[in-house]
Amino acid sequence: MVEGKFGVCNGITRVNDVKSGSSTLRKSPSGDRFKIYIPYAGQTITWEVILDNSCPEEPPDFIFEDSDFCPNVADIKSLVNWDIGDPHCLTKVIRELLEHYKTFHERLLEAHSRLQFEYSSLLDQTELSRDLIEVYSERTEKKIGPINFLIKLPVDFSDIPPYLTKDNPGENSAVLLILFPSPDSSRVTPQLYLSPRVEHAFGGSGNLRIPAFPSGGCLLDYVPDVYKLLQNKVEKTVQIYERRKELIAAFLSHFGRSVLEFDADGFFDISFLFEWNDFFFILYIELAPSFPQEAPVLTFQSIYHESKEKPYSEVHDKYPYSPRWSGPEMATRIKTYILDNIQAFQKQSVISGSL
Amino acid sequence: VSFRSRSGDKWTPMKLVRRALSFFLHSKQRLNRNHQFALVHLFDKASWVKDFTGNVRSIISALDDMSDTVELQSFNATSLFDLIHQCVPLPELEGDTTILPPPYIVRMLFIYGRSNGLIEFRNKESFRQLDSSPYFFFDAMYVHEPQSPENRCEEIFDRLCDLDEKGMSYIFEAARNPTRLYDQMAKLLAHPLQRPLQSEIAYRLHNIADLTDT
Repeated sequence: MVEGKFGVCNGITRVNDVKSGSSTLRKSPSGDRFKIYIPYAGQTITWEVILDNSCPEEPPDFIFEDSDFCPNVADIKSLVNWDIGDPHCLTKVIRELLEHYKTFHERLLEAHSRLQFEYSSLLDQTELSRDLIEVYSERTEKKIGPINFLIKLPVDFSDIPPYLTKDNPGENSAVLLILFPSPDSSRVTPQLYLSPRVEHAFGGSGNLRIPAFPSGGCLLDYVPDVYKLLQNKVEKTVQIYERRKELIAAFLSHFGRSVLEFDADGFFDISFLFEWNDFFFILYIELAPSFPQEAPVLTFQSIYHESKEKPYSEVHDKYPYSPRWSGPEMATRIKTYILDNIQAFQKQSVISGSL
Repeated sequence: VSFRSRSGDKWTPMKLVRRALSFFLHSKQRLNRNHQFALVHLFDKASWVKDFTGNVRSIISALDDMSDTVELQSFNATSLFDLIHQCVPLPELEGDTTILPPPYIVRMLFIYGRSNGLIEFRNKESFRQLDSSPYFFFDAMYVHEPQSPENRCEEIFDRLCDLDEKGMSYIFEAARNPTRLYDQMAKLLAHPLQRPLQSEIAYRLHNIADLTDT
């Protein structure tokens, strides 16, 4: 039965919190006590759950690693109404305890006016709601710090391009972790965490730089700035992704029967085999991340002649082009350009290359 | 892509095929840096010459090192497919295979140069196992002498076409015509998951004025 509860906990412990974290469970050999590791405000908190094998109907006891955290059992409704028959009984308790824990850490801020201001101003004067923010204060005997603020940014990721992978990339999220070394420190360090699909859409983890936290600044100004930055980046990423897709689709509709390969994930390139008067050649079309600002790069490649031990090729990146053209128009104009230049390419490949 | 090169006669076809393959490898790598290639040579039995690598130069040197072959009466396809089935892992079908692309696919490019050596294929078990995967493809390039009553080119080509059981293969032939060989090898660059069926391919560029609206 303990195994059964164990399994159930494992399955549903996506602690419904700011970070969709899951906790891992480990149990000691006796099988009725185990530890839960819960991600919270950028930390991992460890709670030990103690059940009794011989009396399973008895609600569990808890050991919290934070000895100051000592909620009143009577306040934990799901503990008071512990029902072993409910498969979610433990999850409900954990959830309630986590709420109390959160409140506990919120109260800790009250003794420090700057932190208290940071927290309450975020709640009162921005669109952020309490369920999007978690705070945690590390405490020793003498002092308090570092203090973490974990903020889930309500960015709209709904149009982000798909990320096709067999592992579920999970929901889209952007989370800001801000560290205060001490209550009045000005060396505040922010860190942005993006979920896999968002990171993939931005082209990798290095691709978004958030500004440093200004000294003398406050979360009230900083967090909305980061939020706007992200929202803009999302919009831009979606726009240029759609432009690439549109262009690749236009090329496919013109030349689908000549296609060799194309990037079906980010739509950054496509290549064709063309024949013109019995002369075959390959055309590579590559789009830079700055497309449509930057024109697609066209490379003609010979399949008969080589130069320096590689197939002879010519790169064409300066040709009549406007980023304002639609995908279909770009494809048509590039096609004209290709037709106008094949003969010269053919001649040049014979001269420069060797058979 | 793994290559099977089986050159029958001792003259220029081998050199031609080597050059065409070299173009193929360079072009394929240009298309996508992640492609990898292995080389299998068939003498009296199939042997793995070079394992999968993205290093195009090393494959080309292995090709250059391959000696011209000796006349053999027939070619044992069973041993070839047995070897491939044994050595090449195919990706498992995972997730929703209608939308999820596989991590890689395996394409066998069979290059055959015998005008008289019939293809013997007694035990098709390994071939069937490989072919049953949607991530395995069989393509062929048949280089031969011009067809005549003295050789069996047509018969051989038909046997090759028989291997296209799924209807997804590209099977080409060229009769000692260098240009045609290069052209056909270029067509073989097309990615099996993205290319049209062989019956649908069309490479000719038309002037825009000549086209009607599609």
